[in-house]
Amino acid sequence: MTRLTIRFPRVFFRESKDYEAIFERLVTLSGSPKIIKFSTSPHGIDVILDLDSEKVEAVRDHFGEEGVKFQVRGTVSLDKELCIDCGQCVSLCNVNALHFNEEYEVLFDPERCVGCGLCVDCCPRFAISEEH
Amino acid sequence: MPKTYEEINEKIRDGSVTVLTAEEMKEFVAEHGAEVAAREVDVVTTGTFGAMCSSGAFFNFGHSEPPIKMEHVWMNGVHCYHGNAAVDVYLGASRMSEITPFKYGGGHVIEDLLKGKAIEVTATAYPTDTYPKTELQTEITLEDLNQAILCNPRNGYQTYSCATNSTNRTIYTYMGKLLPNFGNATYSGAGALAPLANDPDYETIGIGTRIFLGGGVGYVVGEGTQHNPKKQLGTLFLKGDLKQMSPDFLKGASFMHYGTSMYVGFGIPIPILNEGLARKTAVTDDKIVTAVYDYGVASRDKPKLRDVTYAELKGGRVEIGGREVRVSSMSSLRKAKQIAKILRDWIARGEFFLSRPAETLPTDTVFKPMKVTSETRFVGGFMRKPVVCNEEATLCEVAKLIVQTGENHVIVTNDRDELVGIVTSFDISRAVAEDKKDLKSIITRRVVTTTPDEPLEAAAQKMKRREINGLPVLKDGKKVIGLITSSDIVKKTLSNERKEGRNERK
Repeated sequence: MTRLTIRFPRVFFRESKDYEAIFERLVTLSGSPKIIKFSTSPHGIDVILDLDSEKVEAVRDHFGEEGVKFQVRGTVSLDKELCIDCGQCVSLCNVNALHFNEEYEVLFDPERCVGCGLCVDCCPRFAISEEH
Repeated sequence: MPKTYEEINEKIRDGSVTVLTAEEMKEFVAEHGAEVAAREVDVVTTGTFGAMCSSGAFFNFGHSEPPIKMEHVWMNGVHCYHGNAAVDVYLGASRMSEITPFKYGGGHVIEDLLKGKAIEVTATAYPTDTYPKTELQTEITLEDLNQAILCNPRNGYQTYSCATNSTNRTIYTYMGKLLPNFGNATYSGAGALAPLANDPDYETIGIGTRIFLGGGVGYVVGEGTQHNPKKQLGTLFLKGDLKQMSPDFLKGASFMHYGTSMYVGFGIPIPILNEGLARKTAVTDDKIVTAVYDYGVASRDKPKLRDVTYAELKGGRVEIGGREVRVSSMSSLRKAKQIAKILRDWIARGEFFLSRPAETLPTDTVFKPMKVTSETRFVGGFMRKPVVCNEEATLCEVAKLIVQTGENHVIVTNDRDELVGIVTSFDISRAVAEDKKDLKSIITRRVVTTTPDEPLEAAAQKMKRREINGLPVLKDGKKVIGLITSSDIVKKTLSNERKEGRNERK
């Protein structure tokens, strides 16, 4: 399984049916992807999805020529040997993947992580990493 | 009936002492009241574990053969301060490695020493008659050093500010990573568990107070730098023998784009000499107030956004500007709790005795801002009236406006003078080149802005970093009140220099 971020330029989406069309193309190419996140920003439309690793090339080849950008995202992990439970990362995590338990120990729940990557460069102990 | 230090130490010796952590004390007083607590509880232990940038350590290496009078010294590539005698140095936690800056610094060297690792020491010197050696390279461990004295001129702030960021870009600070538009907030300090918060009038803390420091025993040297008791912002100057300490409670830290530091854990035992101290050590997080400041303003006087209690901060959400913002600590509450418990257990087992301070901390000093003899300049003194248009204007109208006024930046506002975007003469030229007709499609809507009270240097830095030449000046976060451009800064600073030059000639 590979976590992939795809950034479509804004020009891809002129009307609402364009969203459906893009989704259909994605689903056809990648089997049944698990959509982790779908967001619009001034840079474009970002889709983060988990798909079979073998399908990544097909998706890249299909959209690659149209100005679509790809980033393979690994999973974020927290090294508890390095972590000092300061909690700085907790306020950056919108989905509570990084969170405190009752004893104020910092824990990471990979199931909740959407791979936004905001936490990766915040750790003063380099305990958070993202494997690509 | 008040107790004395001697009576409490006698109880520690015979094993009859009652010692609680500050957390346990709060529960005890809530249940039994301060009067009973003053009678029954002898000592309350506190703890904190936070990034303390002013930390460092003195080392004595012993003499080489032939001897060297060290002039420049590096430990694992971190430059030490060497204004002392021949083989004494001070290593500062926030001094960064010259080989891997922002990743490794003085705090990491201290942590590595505690882990038993060998540290590479290099030194250079000028020769003297008795110290002929001019270069030295060796590897030392903590054991090889004669003295290793942890020495922290400023530790343990009574409370500390909560930081957030109003600007539209992510900033990296000593308070961690702060997302744009109040995307998150961070705070520091252990609140009701913090040492000075439990003795806010410094009745029992002062020169010679024995404490838990970095996993070993340390002492309070006296007031810390920037000690500011009138604002309830007391600080402590601490020292201790590094050789007794543990890498669990001294940790090197690297703040992205800011620099290195060190996390320091320490705890102070508060003797419950009287009922007043029982009441003070029962303080809860909802009674300890700090403030949220906008760290997006790179000024000494950061705008204060609101007061906030540690109870709200520990809750993980705080309202800022009508929005719920995620907030988290950047000092470890878990470690702070551990420290208070370890210190409690040392005392209960008769391994740690209390010391009466030779002098308690001063309660009347003030923390002054720096005296700056040259004038500080702010955006307000350099901005001018902006040329504005609204979103409905045509490209041609904006082009005419640029020609008539000679202004390269036209600010797009709505009918309430609030910022919508910006259009530059370059944008117009490009629109013509690309055959675009619609103003709306060429407006830059994510605009880098400034405020009248931002220091001029900070505004100039923004323009340099973003490679732009103008910034709209905003009031109350929205309303456009001016424009500042790089050429304004050049013109005005140069004309001031000319004036000064003329005055000199008179």
